[in-house]
Order: sequence, then structure tokens, then C-alpha cells
Amino acid sequence: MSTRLVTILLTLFATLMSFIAINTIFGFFLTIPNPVFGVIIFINALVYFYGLLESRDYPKRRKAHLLIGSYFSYLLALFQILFVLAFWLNGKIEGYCNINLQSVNFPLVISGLIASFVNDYVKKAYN
Amino acid sequence: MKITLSQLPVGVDGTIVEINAPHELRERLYGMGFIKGQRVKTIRRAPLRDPVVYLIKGSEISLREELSSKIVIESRFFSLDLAIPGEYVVDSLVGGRRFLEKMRFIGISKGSRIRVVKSLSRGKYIRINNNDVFIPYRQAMRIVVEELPNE
Amino acid sequence: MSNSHSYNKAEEIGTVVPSKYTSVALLGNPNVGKTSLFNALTGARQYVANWPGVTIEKRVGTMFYGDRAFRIIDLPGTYTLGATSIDEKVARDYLIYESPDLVVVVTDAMNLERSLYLLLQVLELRGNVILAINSIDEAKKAGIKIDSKELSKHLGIPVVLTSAFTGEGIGNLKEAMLKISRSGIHVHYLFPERIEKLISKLSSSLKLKKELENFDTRWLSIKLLERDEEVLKLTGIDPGADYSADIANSRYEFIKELLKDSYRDSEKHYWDLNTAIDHVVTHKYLGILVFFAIMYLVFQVTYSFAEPFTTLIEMGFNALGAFVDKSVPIPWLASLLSDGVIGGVGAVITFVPSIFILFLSLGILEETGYLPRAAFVIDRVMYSMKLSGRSFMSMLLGFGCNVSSIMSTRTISEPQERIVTILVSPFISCSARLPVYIMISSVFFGKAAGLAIFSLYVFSVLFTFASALLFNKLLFKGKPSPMIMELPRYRKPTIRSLMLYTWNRGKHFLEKAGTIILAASIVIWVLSYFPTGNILTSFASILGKSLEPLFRPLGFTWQMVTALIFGGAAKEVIVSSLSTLYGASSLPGNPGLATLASQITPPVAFGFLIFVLLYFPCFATIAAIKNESGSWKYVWITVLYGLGIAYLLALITRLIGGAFL
Repeated sequence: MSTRLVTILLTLFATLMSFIAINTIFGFFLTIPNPVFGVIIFINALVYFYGLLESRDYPKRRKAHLLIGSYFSYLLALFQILFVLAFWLNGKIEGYCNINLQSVNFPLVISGLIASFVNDYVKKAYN
Repeated sequence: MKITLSQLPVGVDGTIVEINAPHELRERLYGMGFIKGQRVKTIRRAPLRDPVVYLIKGSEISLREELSSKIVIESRFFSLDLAIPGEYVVDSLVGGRRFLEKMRFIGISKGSRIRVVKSLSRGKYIRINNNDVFIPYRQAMRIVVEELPNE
Repeated sequence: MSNSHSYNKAEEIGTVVPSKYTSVALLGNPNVGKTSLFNALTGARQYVANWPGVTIEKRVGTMFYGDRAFRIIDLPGTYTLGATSIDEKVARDYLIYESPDLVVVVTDAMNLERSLYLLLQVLELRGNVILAINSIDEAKKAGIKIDSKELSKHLGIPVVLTSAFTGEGIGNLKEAMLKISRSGIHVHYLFPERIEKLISKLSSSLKLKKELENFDTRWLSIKLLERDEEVLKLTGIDPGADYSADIANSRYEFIKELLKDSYRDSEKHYWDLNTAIDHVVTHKYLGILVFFAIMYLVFQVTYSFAEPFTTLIEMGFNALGAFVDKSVPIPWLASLLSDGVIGGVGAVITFVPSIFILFLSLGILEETGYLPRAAFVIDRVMYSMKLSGRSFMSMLLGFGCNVSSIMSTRTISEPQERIVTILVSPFISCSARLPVYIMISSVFFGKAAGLAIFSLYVFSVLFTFASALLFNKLLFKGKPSPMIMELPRYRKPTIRSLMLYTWNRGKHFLEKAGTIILAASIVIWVLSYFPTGNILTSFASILGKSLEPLFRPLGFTWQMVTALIFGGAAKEVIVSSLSTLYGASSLPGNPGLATLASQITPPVAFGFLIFVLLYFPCFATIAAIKNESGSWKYVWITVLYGLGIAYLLALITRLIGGAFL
């Protein structure tokens, strides 16, 4: 995996997750506002961001940030899916529908899925 | 030079000379591989500087400074603030870009030869490229040097 | 399977083991995969208990192989057979006094040199030892070569290469256990001559002592030379100088010789996956952030994912209660069954989803190896309170529920620290207290309600830390636990071991805590129902009225005192009790609460909230404390300390508040 590709992916995900974090905090687009979870997503963005700050002399460190960052994004998406599922189930049991398009936070889920592919790819470089 | 394990800079290794830990902990340290003559390497510090992870006999053990300061080691590498007057080679600089710039301005970078002239409690007088420079204690802590054998 | 389960339970270890069982002790360093090996050997035929008198987990399982039944005990992970930590002491005492038929020493193929140190200590003590070199799959992948035949020849004991993850070599291990349980050998290895001389000198004088005839004199001599405190006391001999460093060195020398022909290490590449993960999760700035992010996720998982199941269970029990209430003609019996028994059982069962999910998440964190990293990252903060990073996570969980906080202390290995964490956990403001804060604050503090609630949380944190320091000082003389901790390799947990982890601990909670919670619910029901069937004239109210003079200095009304008694069932019950006792619903601005507002002043109300925060915890928490600390002593400390300090601080609040207002 080339250093250049790592840098591109780091930049891409750092920006993407920052936007999703802001989106989740304020609830602009396809999500309900959830400040605390937004901050957690922002921490994920920081993982990528600090990867960019690592010196170019240590490409492996940069790669480490991409590895953990993408896994983290994947985990967040998984968590969001499960959370929505539990939420929906709870509504179902208590006899009302408390779920809509907004509560799913599609941007997060989709970028998490993309991140899972990246994670697989980076992990291969280690084995 | 003999320093304590807690003074061993990150990324370098040394040999254990003496373990002065209390008896009840010594046994466990032996079981983990901390014995005289064993090589031990500092791997990384916790975000708040304490504890520190050491690599010993292939496993990573975290020790608090309270305990690692009781283990004496022999190491060729240590931070400049511990150096006695003599000849040294700079092994690495621990710090951000600004610190590196500052050091380069004085003439200190990886591999440069320095001579500690005078040792004070607030810092070190060193001679580099025939210039005398004073390095304050805080900065000296971040310069890892290697001892040069006396010629 | 269920059959053998109940069979196990009938005879706890500590009683006499029937002769048809071959007792096997699994011994090894922490993190060598000992428990996964145990799981691979016993499957689901296992249960978790505590070692008598201490809070360390004991896993016992049964294995059938050949014509024999084996009872396998998973001893706590230790590095040595010294007696300086409780883990070591439990393992060593078991080996010496219970003398299992055979011992399997589990070692790590990736780190054989270090883990053989323990094996040598076992060989000094006894025979019938099998060496299991675990994680052989990882070692093969890393290019490490181990010649088990050569090792076996040099050591004189059976050596088996196993992998609990892939199941490789498990059959061989069982075979070796069967074979060795028929024969019996005790091998000695030799120390350098200087030490051997001292050993034989000591041995001959020890042999003269009749009271020591059950012990191996060679082992006693070695331990004397190491100045082992217990053996010094036992034998009454003092050899003078301390040879422990020399003995440790010669053990490692022996291991080096041993591995020279049988172990080939590969070139270890430093920047492997492990280092990459650690670089980020213990990063200077990211480390703590990632830690909090993971804690948030665990917190959310435990409380959100459990919610639908909890709701379902609550609804089920409510329906059942209503049904019983209707169909039983005798009113007191109907009330006992629906409110007391079904309500009580329901209270226990509603804990099930969150407890199981909590243990599943803890299991994942522990089995992957993240937990030690979390402790490493946050340790410095906790060290100032004489605790270690391990207890931080437990305390954080306490904001959700003190029960889960106390249950999670199972991951703390130092018993002293564990007790302190258990004792201070009830002071962390759990989510059940929030409704009380909200109700009282909205009545008394108006716009400042948010500030009042926030200050209670801050107070809770400060008080928890202060109490931790105090308990450490009082109970353990202020000695911090040392926290020498290994950071193991990251591992992918197997579903099987996660399930066993969750199930064993969850079941243990249900069995032990369930009975106490149920009993307490019935007591509460009796207090609130008898003698008249009306809560306003019940025993609880009478009790509240008679205790009221005691609380007069604090300014509490009898209704408040009664509500506090009910709060023992669960803290949020205080809200409904207060509403019932003031004869109105809990809607804001209702006349009942207006009565309350006219009876007491805001400083008294704030004192009441502080009292709610600090006084004795709910019964579920008490049950967990009893269960996890293993002693009623700590329950009494919690209850009395809590009540005393709550009274004192509520009084101070009233006095200070009264002076200003």
C-alpha cells in the first residue's frame, strides 16, 4: 500500500467524518441531533487527522491511524444500526412507531460500510 | 552509565543491574523476567507520562514510575540532563517540529557530537562546533544522547 | 448437559473430592489463554464461584475422557508461586494443601522463556506435571519452531503443543492427562552447586522436624533461601541472607539451556498489527479520547440495547401481576403475590438484559486485550486516589447503574483495589437517582434546577474520590496497589468463550443477587401493606413517623423519611412514594407537592437530595456488594458509612443554606 494512497484516504476520511460529526451534533441532514454521539464521531475524525500529523518519515504510523480509524468508523456504523434496531423494537413493544428516515443517520452508516472495506484492505498489508 | 529504568528514554534499551523494589514485589518482577543482566527496552509512555510500557523477554509490561525508579540499569543511551561532563553523540530528539527547529538552530540534530562542559542543576553547558551553548534542563530532558567511550 | 451441571453444583470444591475424579489444576501466567484452554477442555460443563474468603473468581469444570472423569480447576493467573499477592496465594495454597492429582502448566508459545519460569517453580514443588504450550497456531504463523519431544526429554515431563483457538492438540492434551494420571513422576532440576549445597544443608535440618513431614523439604529449602515469608513462619528457620535473586537467575539460566535446542525464534518485526493498534489507542492525545469513546459505546450498549428487553419483561410482569391480582380472591394474598413476589421477581429479571449485555461487552473488551490498555491510559488519574486505571471503568459504568459498576469490578485483579472500588461505587450517582433530583429540583429550585442537578453530579464524583482515599487509608493503610501489568497481544475472541464468559457471570449474579433482591422486595411489601392495607397507615408509615424525630435536625417530614425507606427497593421509587404519601400524582404543580414545598425550605430540599445520593444503596446494589466482596462486613460498612455521612452532609447543607437564606 503506497504512502500516497494512505495520505489520500486519511484526508478523505478525516474530512468525511468531521462533516458527519457536525451533521450529527446539529442534525442538519438525514439525522436527528445527537450531540454526544456527534462528539464520539468527531473523535473518530481526529484519529484520521492525527495520522496526517505524523511525520512522513514514519509511514507505518500513518497507516496505523488509517487502520484503527477505519475500524472505528465501521464500529460506529454497526453501533448505529443496532441502536436504531433496539429503538425500533422498543417502540414496537410499547405500541408506537418512533422511527423515521431521520433517526437512521444514513451518512454515518454508509461511510462506516465504506470504511469496513478500507479496513480490510489495510489489514491485509499487515498479514 | 547507570540510570534508573524510569529515566530510560523511549525507544532505547539497557541492561538491568540492580532491583531495589520491596521484597513482596521483587518476586513478581523476577517472574516477569526482571532479573540482573536482562535487557529491557522502553516502548511507550502513557498519555499522562506515567506508567510506561517496557519490553522484557518478549512481553510488554507496564510499570509505574514509583517502581521503575527502583530498578537500576546500565545504558549507553540517556537524556542529556543526566549526562556528566564528557563526549556524547546525539541519538534522537523527542519533540515536535518547533523543538527540532530550535535545536537545529543551535546545531544539534541526530548524530551531532557534543561535549558537556559543565553540569548545573538548571541545565547543561555544552560545546558544539566550537560554540558554547547553555541548554536548560527542560530541553535537555528531550535530547537523547549516546555515551562515547573515552579515547 | 444439564444433568452434569447439577452434578457439579452438588459438590463444591473445598469439600472432599470423590476418588473417582482425577483432580486437575490449570496453572499459568495471566493472558496465556489458560481460560480458553479450560473452555476447550470442559465445554459448557463448568461454573464460576468465588474462592472461599477472597473475591477471586474460581472456575471449575468437568471433563470426561477415556474411562475417567476429570475435575478441572482453573487457578488464577500468576507469574510465580510466591505468596505476595492474593492470586498467587490462592494458586499456591491450592497446589500445596488441596494437592490436585495432576497439574497442567499452560505456557505461551510466543513467549515461552518467560512462561517456563512458573513451570520450574511447580516442578520444585511436586510431580505429575504436564506442560501445555498454548497459542501454537500464532507461533507457527510467526515462524517460531518448538521441538516438544526435545523439551519433554530434558524436562522429564509430558509436553503438549496446543491451540485453544483452533483446537489443535487438545486431544493430545487429554491423552497426556489420561496417561499421567495412571503413572506418577516427580522430576527435579538442579540449581548451581553453591545453591544446591545450601539446599541440601537446609533439607537435612528440615527433615528432622516432624510437623513438616507432609511438605517436600527440598521445596521448603528453596523457599527459605528466597525468604518466602510464609515458609519462614512455617518452619521457624531463618537462613539469613536472601538468595532470591540468585535463584531467579539460575532458573532463567536453566530455561535458556533448555530452549537452546528446542526453541527457534523468528525475526520479530517490530511494527506488526499489535504495535499499530497500540500506537493509536495509547496515543499521547488520542488515547484518552478513544478510551472515552469506547466507554460511551459500552455505556450505550448496556442501557439502550437492553431497553426493549427490559420493557418487554416489565410489561410481562405487570400483566402477570394484574392477572394474579384479579384472579386471587383473598386481597392480602393477591397483593403479596402480585406486588411482593411477582414484583420482586420482576425487579430481578429486569436486570437480566443489561447485566448480560454488560458482561458481553466487558468480555469483548477483556478477551481482545483492550482492557489493560484502557487501564494503562487512565492510570495516572486514578493513581492520585491510590487506585489504578482498572477501577476507573467500573466507576464510569456506575453512572448508569451501581450494580453493573460493582459487577464489572470482576475485571480488577488486585483484591484491595477491588474492595475499595466496590465500596465507593454506590456514591456514584446512578440513573435511578435522576428522577428524584428532577422532581425535587423542579419544585424547589425553579430556574436553578439544572445547576442543582449538575452540582449533585459533581459532588458525587468528588465524594467518590474522597471516599476511595479514605477507605484506602482506613482499610489498607493507604498503600496503593502496585499495578504491575502485562499488556497482552490483541486477540480475536471466540464466540464460544464470549458466551461462556457472559453466561457464567450473568448466572452467578442471578443466583446470588436474585435471592437477596427477592427477599428485600417481600419485606418492603410487608411494610407497605400491613396492618391496614393502606400505605398511609402501614408499618412503613409508622416507621417513618417514629423515625421522623431523628431526622428533625435535617428538617425532613415523615413522608420524606418513609419515602427514603422505600427508596431501598430502588431509588426511583422515592418519587412515586413521595407522590403517594402526599396523596397526589407526580405531575408538576400538583397540590400534594405544593404541600411539600410549603413544609420544607430549599436548603432542606437540597440536603434531602444529598441524602438520597449518599445514603444506603438499593437492595440490588447491596446484593451485588455482598456477592462480589464475599462478606457482609463490607455491606455493613457501606450502609453505616453511607447513612452516617448522608446525615452529616445533609445537616451541614441545611445549616449552611439556612445561614445564607
